[in-house]
Amino acid sequence: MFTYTIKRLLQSLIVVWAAVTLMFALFFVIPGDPISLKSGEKSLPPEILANITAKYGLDQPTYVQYFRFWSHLFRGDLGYSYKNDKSVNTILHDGLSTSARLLFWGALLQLIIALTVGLTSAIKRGSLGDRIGTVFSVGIQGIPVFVSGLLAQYLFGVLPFQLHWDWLNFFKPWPQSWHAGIIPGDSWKGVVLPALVVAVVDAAFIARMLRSSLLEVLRADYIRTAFAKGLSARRVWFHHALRNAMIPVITVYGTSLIAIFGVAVQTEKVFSLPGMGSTIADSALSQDSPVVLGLAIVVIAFGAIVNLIVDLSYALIDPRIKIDSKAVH
Amino acid sequence: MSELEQIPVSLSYWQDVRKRFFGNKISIVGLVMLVLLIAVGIIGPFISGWKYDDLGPDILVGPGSKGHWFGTDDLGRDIFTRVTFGIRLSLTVAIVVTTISVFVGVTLGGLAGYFGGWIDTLISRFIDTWQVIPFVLIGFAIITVFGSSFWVIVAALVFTGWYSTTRLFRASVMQVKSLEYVEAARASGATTKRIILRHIGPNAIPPIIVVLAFSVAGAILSESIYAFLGVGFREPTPSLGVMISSSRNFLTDKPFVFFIPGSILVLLTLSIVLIGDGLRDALDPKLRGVK
Amino acid sequence: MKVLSLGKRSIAVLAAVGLAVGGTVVSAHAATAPAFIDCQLFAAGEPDHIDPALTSTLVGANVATMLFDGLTDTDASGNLYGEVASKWKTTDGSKTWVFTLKKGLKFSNGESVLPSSFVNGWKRSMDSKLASEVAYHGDFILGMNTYSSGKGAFPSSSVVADDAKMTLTVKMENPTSDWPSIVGHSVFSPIPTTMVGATDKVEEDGTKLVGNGPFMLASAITKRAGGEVVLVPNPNYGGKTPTISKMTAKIFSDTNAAYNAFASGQCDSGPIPAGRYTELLTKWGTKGVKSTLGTDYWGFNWEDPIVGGAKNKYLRSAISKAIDRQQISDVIYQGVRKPATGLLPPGLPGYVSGQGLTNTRDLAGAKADYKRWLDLGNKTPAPIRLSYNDGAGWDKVGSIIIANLKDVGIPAKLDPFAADGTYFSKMRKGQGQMIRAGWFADYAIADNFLYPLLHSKSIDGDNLERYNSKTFDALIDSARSSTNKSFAQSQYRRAEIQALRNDVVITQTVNRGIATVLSPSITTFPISPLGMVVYDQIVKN
Repeated sequence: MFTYTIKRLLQSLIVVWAAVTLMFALFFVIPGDPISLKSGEKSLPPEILANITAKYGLDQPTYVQYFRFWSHLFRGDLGYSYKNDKSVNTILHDGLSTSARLLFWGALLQLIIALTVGLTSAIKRGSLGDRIGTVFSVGIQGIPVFVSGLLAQYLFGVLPFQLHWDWLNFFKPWPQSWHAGIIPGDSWKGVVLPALVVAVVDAAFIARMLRSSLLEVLRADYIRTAFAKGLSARRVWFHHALRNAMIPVITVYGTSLIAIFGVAVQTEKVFSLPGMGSTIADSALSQDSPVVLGLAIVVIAFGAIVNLIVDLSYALIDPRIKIDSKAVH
Repeated sequence: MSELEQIPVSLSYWQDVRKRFFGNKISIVGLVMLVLLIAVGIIGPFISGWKYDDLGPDILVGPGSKGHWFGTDDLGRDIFTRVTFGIRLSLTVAIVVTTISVFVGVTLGGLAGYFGGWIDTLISRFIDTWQVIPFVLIGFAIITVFGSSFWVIVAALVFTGWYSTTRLFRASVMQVKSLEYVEAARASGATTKRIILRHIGPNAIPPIIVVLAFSVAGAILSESIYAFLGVGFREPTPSLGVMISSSRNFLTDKPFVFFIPGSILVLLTLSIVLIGDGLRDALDPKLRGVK
Repeated sequence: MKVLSLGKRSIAVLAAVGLAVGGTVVSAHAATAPAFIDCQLFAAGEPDHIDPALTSTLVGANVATMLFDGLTDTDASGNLYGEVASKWKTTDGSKTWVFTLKKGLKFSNGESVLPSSFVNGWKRSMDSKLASEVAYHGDFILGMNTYSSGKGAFPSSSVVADDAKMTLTVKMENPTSDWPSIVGHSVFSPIPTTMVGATDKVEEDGTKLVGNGPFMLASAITKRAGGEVVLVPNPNYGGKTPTISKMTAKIFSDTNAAYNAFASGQCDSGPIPAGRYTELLTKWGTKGVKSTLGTDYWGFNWEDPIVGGAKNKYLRSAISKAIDRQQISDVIYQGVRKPATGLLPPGLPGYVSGQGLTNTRDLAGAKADYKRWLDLGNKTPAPIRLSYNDGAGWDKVGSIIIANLKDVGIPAKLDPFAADGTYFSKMRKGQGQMIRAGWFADYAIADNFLYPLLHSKSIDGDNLERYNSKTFDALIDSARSSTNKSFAQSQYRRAEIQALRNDVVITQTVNRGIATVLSPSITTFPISPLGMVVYDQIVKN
């Protein structure tokens, strides 16, 4: 297990390096001269462009820029926005704190919904609850996040407002102050809709995965044996069934955590939240490459860590994976 | 269960699949929905009496008024006609993208899953690299540089979709490979070719069919997300995502401008997901005989 | 929390200053005058800069002009007046300008505003190390370009300050009769000695950006949604004290969010989301609507084989006559941007109505011109590309034009570019066919439109059409070098006709305007023709 962990860790580092390099190429090399893109409706004379180019160090050859990028990165300096000279570190801090809060509340809701729906529909297979759960979890998969976001705004914002049902109006501004960094200090209602939108998509997916995985496991011989041996249902469920059913669920959960960025972008755009997703999207559209890259590094590193954890827990739960990979080499 | 029963190439297996699929009410609902939507997509433009980029004099009129079944948008264009073209566009893009992605996925995933070893490591780490880059960013990078034409959007969607099919197919091949009867066949000295064709291939086909369905739904969603974020199809192309995106400003007083393309998009993906779901239940050999 | 403590501190400072200068007026004023909260200013995201040396956006410049007073300014009706300068004159045909400054004016830190304060300010804003995007406005001054491009020292002989006589003498590169208007731009603001050598980050510290305007900065959490910029009256201001005790500009990620904040009573002013002008102006009133000095137009690539050059004039005039400007104004802007009749906007000194090819849609004329073009041996062209930068609603304007052209039989299609930068750089390289463009006045003079947009020396720059006409150039050059103001204006008018009517290189669509919704308690909300809200003259009950 130790060697496997070290090996996977090294692989993850390579993955991060490769992904960041790819992003560097996509946003710094391919677009050509980023500063000439600074000219908008009013063009900038060549001398002014030269001043700005020198200010951002873009007059250097690409490989020098690339090495300088890494050396600055190791010193914790992500550079400055082309658009307004703001430090990318600050932009990252602002975006991350908003996104982290959104995703925290989203993930909490998600876990609650997924476990409840997944377990209920597996234990009571074929019951009305299972059917409702199935329809709900299948149905939600067909709805993209931006549509469910707009729908939520209509149902819990526009409609209650027009009907004067103020208690149902959850379309409120995102809180400005937070207790302990995570508990809304004002207008807690502002958190509900964005968090729900984040939670619902993958909650459904995970619930379904848990259900089918549980059903599969329940048919396995060892579960039958366990029941036959007269073990208590609770013990069989939680010790044998749930544990084994978790393997595919963990993979899916990991993938969904990586994909959560796509969810965050849409949610933040729909609800106008100043998080990582909307900042990257806006910066990418205005070709503010230092901001895109600086924020993307964090998203990439996050994805790599999640992948690593998924793989390691996979190996922990199902030792065959590790043995397999050993046997091959 | 004996080894023979587990090789699902027999006629009875597919008959069984058909029976199971059509016995599933939910997937029938999906199939009917999809057929209806496709029919509307094909016939709609001929019977609506409008073109998708005709700017009529009536702006934001409600469904049913002034000869517009679904009303008009803020430029006075017929929403019904635009929605029908939207269905066509979504499906065309999704089918093209899925075909390419599944082709790539089957090849790479099959290689990685069957051979394992360094091939698997290489392909898996390559997937990891792509996977940790948010797909939205790849789309942004490609589309801001190359513009938003049909094939650029298809390319962006393939770039962001190939690895999930690869990953799934790899996993499914690995799973089949580790089944006892395949190991038994290997132990009894069967050739690689024979193992792939006779044992692994047939067992890995059902997952591909399921992945195919979900990839189509995924591509439809991704296309609309790109359009919503401003990097997919643009006006006047009647993409459902474009229509939903520009309806945001009218959510308070003309909600139909949002609800019509929104529900068509949802019904479209939902119908495909339901079919995919039914297919999965019907095709999964391990569920046979269990009720 | 940080905001609160900063706010408290500055109020304490204000009160202390008020007592010190014996002006109980200040504290009394602060107690009675209402505060104003603005959600409109930074509605569509963050300002680039609020530092007058750096800002290149209207919203940023609006704050900068509240913090800093320049030598001159333009009032609400478009007239030039002295702000720090009491008078100005030229003795050698606009080659040298001498400004006499008012005495006794102070920065908010108490330092006197002297001619040398302007020299310091210009030294900072034109410094190549500061790399300001707006430094090129200094190029009118003799030798300034050498300094701002980092090739030489500051041209001290061109900008001479005499603090004893309170005069500032400026030597120009070429005769520049419009210099008194140009020098009102915020890049020519004065700075106190404490700001000499300040970097481009000085604005991020709420208290170090020290100016001489009606307001001073109390706190600034800028460049991020959720942030806010707080201005309080400058206790040392020499002019009229602002009518409000505090101005808070909140920063929103988009107009919808900002409008919602306004509608829920969080602010006194707010923006109008696209397409909702009629509805919201009916609901909230039209006090916040004002035409500004800007024009939208579509240009024809002069080098394009289908639409460019003298031989394709009839196709261009057919397109120009086919466009329904009234429809664009009604459908897209619901009257806030009104149909334009020429390139120069109403309100600009020297403006004359009807300089364009046509004021209203002329479908018969369009069809006749198109037939004439076809009769010259041209075939129906491949759909003409209408290029534009995406995301600002131009797709809808383009869709209307395509429908307009369809009525004539001219095929056209949209050609969007995802990013502004890519769009403009491609257009500058001549890759467009019909090019979406627009211009907003930097200073209220005709030359600020005609020279950068259409002169052959502006090719590769803002002359997106790559229009190259000797006749046009000659008219502009003679106007620029003339010291006779009325002759210059008539030359500019002839140049406008040459480009719009004789050559039809561009076709105007609408004039720009600003629309703000205001809470009922706001009775006066002045907006200058340059699009700046005059916050010190807002009246709130």
